[in-house]
Amino acid sequence: MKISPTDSDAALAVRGLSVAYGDKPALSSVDAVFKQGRMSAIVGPNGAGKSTMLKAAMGIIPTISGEALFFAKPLAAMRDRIAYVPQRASVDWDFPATVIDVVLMGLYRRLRPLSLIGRSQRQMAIDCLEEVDMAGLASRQIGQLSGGQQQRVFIARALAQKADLLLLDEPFAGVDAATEKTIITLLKKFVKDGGTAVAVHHDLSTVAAYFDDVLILNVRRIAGGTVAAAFTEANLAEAYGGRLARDTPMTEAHAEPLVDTTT
Amino acid sequence: MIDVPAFVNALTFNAGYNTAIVAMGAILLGWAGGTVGTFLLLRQRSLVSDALSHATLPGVGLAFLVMAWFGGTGRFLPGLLLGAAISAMTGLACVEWLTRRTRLNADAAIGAVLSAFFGFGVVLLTVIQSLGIGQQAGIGSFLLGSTSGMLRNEAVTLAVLALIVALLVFYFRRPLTLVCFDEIFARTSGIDIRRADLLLMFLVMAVTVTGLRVVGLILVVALLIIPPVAARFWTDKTTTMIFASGLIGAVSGFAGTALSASVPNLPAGPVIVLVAALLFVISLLFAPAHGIFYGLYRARAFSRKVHRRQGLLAILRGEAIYDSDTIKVLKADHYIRADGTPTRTGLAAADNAAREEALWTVYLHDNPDAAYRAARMRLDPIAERLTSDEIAELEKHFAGPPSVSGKAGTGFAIR
Repeated sequence: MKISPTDSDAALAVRGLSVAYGDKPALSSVDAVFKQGRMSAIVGPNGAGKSTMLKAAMGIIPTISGEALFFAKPLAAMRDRIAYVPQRASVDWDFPATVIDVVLMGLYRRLRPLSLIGRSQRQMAIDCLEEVDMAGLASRQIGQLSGGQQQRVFIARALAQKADLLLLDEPFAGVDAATEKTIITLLKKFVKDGGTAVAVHHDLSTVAAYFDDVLILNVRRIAGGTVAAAFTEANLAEAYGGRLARDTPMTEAHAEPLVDTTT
Repeated sequence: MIDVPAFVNALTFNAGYNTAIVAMGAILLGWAGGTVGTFLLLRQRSLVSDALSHATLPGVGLAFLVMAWFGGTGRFLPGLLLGAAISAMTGLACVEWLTRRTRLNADAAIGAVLSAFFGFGVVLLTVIQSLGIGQQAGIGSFLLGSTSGMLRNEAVTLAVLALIVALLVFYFRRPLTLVCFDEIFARTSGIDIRRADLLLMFLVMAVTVTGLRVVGLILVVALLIIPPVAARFWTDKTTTMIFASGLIGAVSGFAGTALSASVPNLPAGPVIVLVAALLFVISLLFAPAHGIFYGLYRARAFSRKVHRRQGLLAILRGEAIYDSDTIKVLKADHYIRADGTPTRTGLAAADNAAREEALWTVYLHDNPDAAYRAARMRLDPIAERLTSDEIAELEKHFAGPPSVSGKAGTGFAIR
C-alpha cells in the first residue's frame, strides 16, 4: 500500500522512518498514517518500536531517516496542536510539585516569561483535573498519588495544552480499572469532539473495544488501517510470531488461538 | 567576643557604606545561589558545582599573570573573574567530555577534573606569590574568600553580577523547571534541552565566580547546595521551594556578613556557610512539611488514633484488650479504668466510634475514588471532614437513630 504523507485528513503521517539504538535497529523504514478524528492504537511485541515511533515523530530521539508530518506540516510549525503524554516512569515523582503545578506545565508554552499564573489559568487547570476526577487532589504532592492517579494528572496536563492531537505512550500501563475507564471515556469524548488520539497499547484484548484504527509494528510495519481490516490473526501472528500465547484473550471475532503452541 | 552594637549596626546597614554594599552583595549572592542551586539540585547535578568552583583557580592565577605582565596590577577583579569563568568552563567541558566519551561515571569524572584543576591552580598561586609582582597580596583570598579588604567598586561589581543572575533565573524559571521535572515533555514543548542545560551551567558559573571573592572557591558550592536542600524540607511546590531557597541563601549572606563585620578577624565566607548550615539543621529538624520532628509527631498522632479507634471498637464488642499501647491510649483518654473496664465516657465514645466507622464505610462504598484520602481521614471525626449535608445523606443508609446504649451495632444495621 502506497502512502502519501500529505494525506489531507492525516493528523500524523510518518514516511520511511528508521531509528536505531547504536547499531541495533528499532524501526526500519516505517510508513504510517493516523487519520484525524480517529482513535488509533500502535500495537506490537516488546521491543517492536512502538514508543520509539512516537518519540521519533516528536523529535525526542534522533532518527536515521524518514520524516513525520503533523497536519501536513513539520513538527516545529504544529507544536501547539500536539500534546504528548510520556510514560509515567520517565519522571521523578519525588519532585517538589503538586498536582496542579504539573497540570499548569501544560500552559507554559503559551505563557510569556515575565507573566505570572493568574486565577483564570488556575481555574482552567482545575477544569482539566475535573475531567479526570482529580480536582479534589489538586494540592497534593505528586509522589503521594497512586499510579493510576499519576497517569490522570499527565492526561490533565495534556488537556491543558488544548491540543488537537494527543500522543499517548502506554497510557494504560499499570493503572487501575477505574482509571482505565476514566481515561478511555475521556479519550473517546475527545475524539468525538473532533480530536485525534494515538496511543501505544499493550492489551490486545481491548483493541477492538477502544480503538478505531490500529498500526501493527514489529520493527517494520506489519499492517495498518481500521481495526476490522488490519487487526487480523494473520497480521498478529506475523507481528508476534510464536510469542503470543494461545490463550491471550481476544475479541469475539478473533477468539480462535492465533498460534498453536501445542505442536 | 561579638561586638553587639557593631552587629546591630551591620544588620541595620549602619556600619558604613562599604559594609552596607558588601552586605547587599552577599544578600544578592545568597539569593542567586539559592535559586540557581534549586534547579541544580532538581536536575540532580549538585556536585558539578564543586568541579566548577575548583576549576576556577588556575584561571584566577593565569589571569593575574597575564594582567601583571601587561598592566602591572594583577588584582583587577573583573579580569580575574573572567579568567575564573574561562577556566571553569574548560573544567566543565572536561567533565562533560569524560562522562560522554569514556566509561567514567559523572562523580569519578568530577573528582578527577576537580583535583587536577585545583592542583594546577595552587601551583600557579604559589609561583605568583614567589614572584612578587603585580600586588599579589590578597590573591590567596580566592581560596577562602574575604570581605574585609574588599574595595567599593569590587563590591558593586559583585552585587550587579548577582542581581543579573537572579533576574535571569526568574526569566527562565519555567523552561528550567520543565527540563528538571520531565525532560521528554520539555522536549515535546519545543525546549532545547542542551541549551537549557548550558544556561543552567552558565548560571552556576556566574554564581560561583561571583561568590569566589566573598566565600572563596572551596566553600562557594555551599551557597548552591545548602539553601535548596534546606528549602526542600519546607515545601512540595517548585515555586515555593525556589523562593524559600533564595530566602535562606539571602538570610545566610546577610547574617554572615553582619556577624563577620562585628567580630574582629572572623572571615565572612565561612560564617555565611555556617549560618546556612544552621538554617539547614533547623529545617531538617523542625520544618512542618518534611522535618524530622513533625514527621515523628504526625506518625505518633496517627498511631494513637488507630489504637483509640481499635480499642473503642473492641470495647463495643465486649472484647478483652491486650495490646499495651491501646490500653495506654484508652487510659490516657479516661475511656477505661485501671482494671480495664470501660468508663461511661468510654462507652459513649465507643458508640460514637462505631457510628463513625459505619458512616465512613458507607461513604467509601459510595465514593470508591476517595479510598486513598479516606484511609487517613476515617480516623478523624467525620463532622470535621465532610459537610453536614453529606453526613445527613450517609445517615439515610441506616435504620433508626444512632444508639446510645453501648450495645454492639444496634442502630447501625445497613438497610
